[in-house]
Amino acid sequence: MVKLTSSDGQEFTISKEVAYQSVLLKNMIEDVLDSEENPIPLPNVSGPILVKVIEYATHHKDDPVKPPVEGPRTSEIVDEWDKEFMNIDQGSLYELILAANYLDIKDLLDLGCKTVANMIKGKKVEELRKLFNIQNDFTPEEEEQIKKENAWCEEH
Amino acid sequence: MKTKTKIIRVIENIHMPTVIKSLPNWINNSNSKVENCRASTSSSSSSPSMSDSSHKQEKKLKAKFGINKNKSKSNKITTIENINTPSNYNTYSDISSKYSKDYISKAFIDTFSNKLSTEKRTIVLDEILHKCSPEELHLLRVLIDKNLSEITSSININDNDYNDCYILKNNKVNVSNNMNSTTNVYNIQRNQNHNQNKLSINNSVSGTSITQIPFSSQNSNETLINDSIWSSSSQLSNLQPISSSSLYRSIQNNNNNNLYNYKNIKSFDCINLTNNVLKKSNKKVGSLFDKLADELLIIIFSYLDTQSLAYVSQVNCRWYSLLRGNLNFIYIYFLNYFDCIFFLNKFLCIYKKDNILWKNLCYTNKYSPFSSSNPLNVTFQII
Repeated sequence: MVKLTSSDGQEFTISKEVAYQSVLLKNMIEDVLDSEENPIPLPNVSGPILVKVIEYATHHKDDPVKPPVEGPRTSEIVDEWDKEFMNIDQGSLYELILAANYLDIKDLLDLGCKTVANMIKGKKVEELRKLFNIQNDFTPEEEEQIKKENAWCEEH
Repeated sequence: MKTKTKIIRVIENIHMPTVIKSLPNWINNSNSKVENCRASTSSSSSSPSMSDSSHKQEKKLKAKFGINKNKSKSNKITTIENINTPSNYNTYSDISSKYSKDYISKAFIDTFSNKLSTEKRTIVLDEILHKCSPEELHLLRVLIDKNLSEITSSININDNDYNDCYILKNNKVNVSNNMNSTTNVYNIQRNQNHNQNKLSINNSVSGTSITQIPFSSQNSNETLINDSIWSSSSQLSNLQPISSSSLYRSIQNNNNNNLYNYKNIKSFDCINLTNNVLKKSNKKVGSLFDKLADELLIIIFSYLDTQSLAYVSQVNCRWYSLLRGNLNFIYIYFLNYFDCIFFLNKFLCIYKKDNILWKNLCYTNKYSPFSSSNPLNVTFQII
């Protein structure tokens, strides 16, 4: 078993199988720590997010190694459980992406990025700004110029 | 476009030759304005009995013997060590080691961008430290203070630090006095008092909303400057100098969270409260995309089709910067159409030959798999 401590001091005990989903934890367990005694501190991951990460890793611990995807990259999420899993608020979604990046869990990172990409897809500029609460910091002249640059996208 | 935003944007977009080229002009111009003000003050304050002819003679003598007061002034390098030593007062107080070059460097990186290489950053930093006027350096210092106060949970404040600042501000009031009239000085002082009272009331009664600082998707400091300091705009290409005295007046009038307040309110609780409110105000409004590093955004964008990418690049400056280059489009082409070696060969040939943006190949170029003129278009539609 492996003990993990989140940034807010919560302690979690997980199996090595689950922990090995994370390349960071795998390397730490194999190379450095006797983690059964000493909990591994994860200062960049909060408790609630670590719960989500563990949930994901536990669900996918028996998954076979995925072959490299051929053809176009698609943001489509096939697995229904994954879809439901990512049905969270924006703040948690970004925290989850950051945690996946920090813990080096590629599948979870891809899933998070795909989810955000799906949120972006099909939306126009103003919709994107509103959805993600982004301020327009272009000047009118710059905006006009950029619109001209991307005029082709309006034609298709 | 507001000047500071443009400068930051230029830095972020790594148009370094432009920045390096423009900085000295920008700084020299603003320095010369201040020097002119000081010169006019010194001439007006000199003995009225001195005639024009005696002035001319003095100038000739100085020229003859190589004594040039103005030249010696301009050669004086303003560094962060003498930032708090206004020339009008000739007070050489000890400056806190907090504002060492390394400290500024770190803060500069945090404040602006970590995209630049260390070498480029050093060049810009040296330019700023050596060529900026004291007023501009002080402005930088205010920004740094604001930036670092968000990072550190507690701040050690020496009374001397803010006494020095007070002297500097007094100096600025004198500069404005030189430029305009004595009535302006009184106006400024009234405004200061007004702000102090306002802050005291806010602190003692409600303890909230000391300063409403808007939050930009890009940089909170940038917005702080834009909304509370800069009042005029100029063209990006020109990188016009900023009038230091007008900046100071704007700071004094608009920014309640200024150093005057620290001088009168020495309680640590008040300062911590200020910092907490600032933290809250920043967290409240900001885009969550700010949390994600550029590398992660690129991964997200790599899942998008070209039409979405075109829209995304119009959202804000940061996204535009990320998508302006070839990286993401090459990424898309390579990952999505790695089998289409004949297309890639053509792309590479074009790219090497003309150094064009791959982005422009989308739809508009006959070689693009997205182009409507491409007979294989249907085959390569993104799902």
